[in-house]
Amino acid sequence: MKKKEMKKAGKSLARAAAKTFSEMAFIDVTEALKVPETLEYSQIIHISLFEPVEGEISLFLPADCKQMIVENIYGSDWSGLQSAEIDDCLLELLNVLAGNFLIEYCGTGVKHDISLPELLFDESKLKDNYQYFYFDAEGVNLKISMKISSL
Amino acid sequence: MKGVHVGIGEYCVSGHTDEVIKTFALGSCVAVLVYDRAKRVVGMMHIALPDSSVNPERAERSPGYFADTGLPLLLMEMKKRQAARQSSWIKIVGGSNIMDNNHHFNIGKRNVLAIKKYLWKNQLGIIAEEVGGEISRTVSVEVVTGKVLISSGGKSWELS
Repeated sequence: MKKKEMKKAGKSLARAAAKTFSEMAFIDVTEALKVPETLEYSQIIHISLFEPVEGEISLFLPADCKQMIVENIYGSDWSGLQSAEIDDCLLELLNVLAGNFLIEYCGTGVKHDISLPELLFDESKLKDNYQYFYFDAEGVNLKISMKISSL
Repeated sequence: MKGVHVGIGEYCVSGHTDEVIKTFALGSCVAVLVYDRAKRVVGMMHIALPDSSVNPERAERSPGYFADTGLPLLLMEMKKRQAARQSSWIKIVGGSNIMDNNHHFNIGKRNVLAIKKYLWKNQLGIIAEEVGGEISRTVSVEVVTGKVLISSGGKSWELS
């Protein structure tokens, strides 16, 4: 992928992340000012894109960020939530984020075909050629990896 | 009509139908407006920051300055005036990005999100909003009708 196109994709991803996190979870997400030295994450969520572009997006969430998202979306405490509810919520977040990314990147009125989002337990399944994008979610860093293979 | 001015971090709850409640120059601050159309009671709060943990002493003195300490107070005061959920609405105005062009510390957006988050957790929603952008807004609400007027740059319009 050309450098210019990847830059456009990165900007589209940043706008999609800001929109998705604010509208679904009331969290202000901005591009991180610098790449964090370390980022410990407790969950990876993955989705594949088929149309109008082929690619993959993975969301790497630290525990604090995961809790903040889930508590805000459900409007209740972490301790009162079942693990299935937590998973559903995070999967839906990525589903919406992927949709918003495609709208930002490809425009409206275009048919989208994407996979169901899935929890990823084996990071090695993520192949090479990923670009990594770092974000600040109200003081907590999170990472999104993305690969776009065709236009 | 009699005008009542709400300053930064202040709030007003009024059932006097001859009053107009007004707050000036909302930049990144957000005005939260609550109106019970059955009781004709207005609540307005001028919130400056999302989270009181940055200055607990100030929150003690001026709870309306912060979303997390102000909103419970505003809703409690509305309840004291017999305002009911079924006959009330909530609107918000403000939250501009005036001070910060790079959006890295977007206080306006943070204010809006903190307010929505608090309301959501309390099973409350907003029926109308005019937030964001890069303008400074003045907002007023008539107690007798609940009519909300926004003005900025010499123009004014209704938020319905």
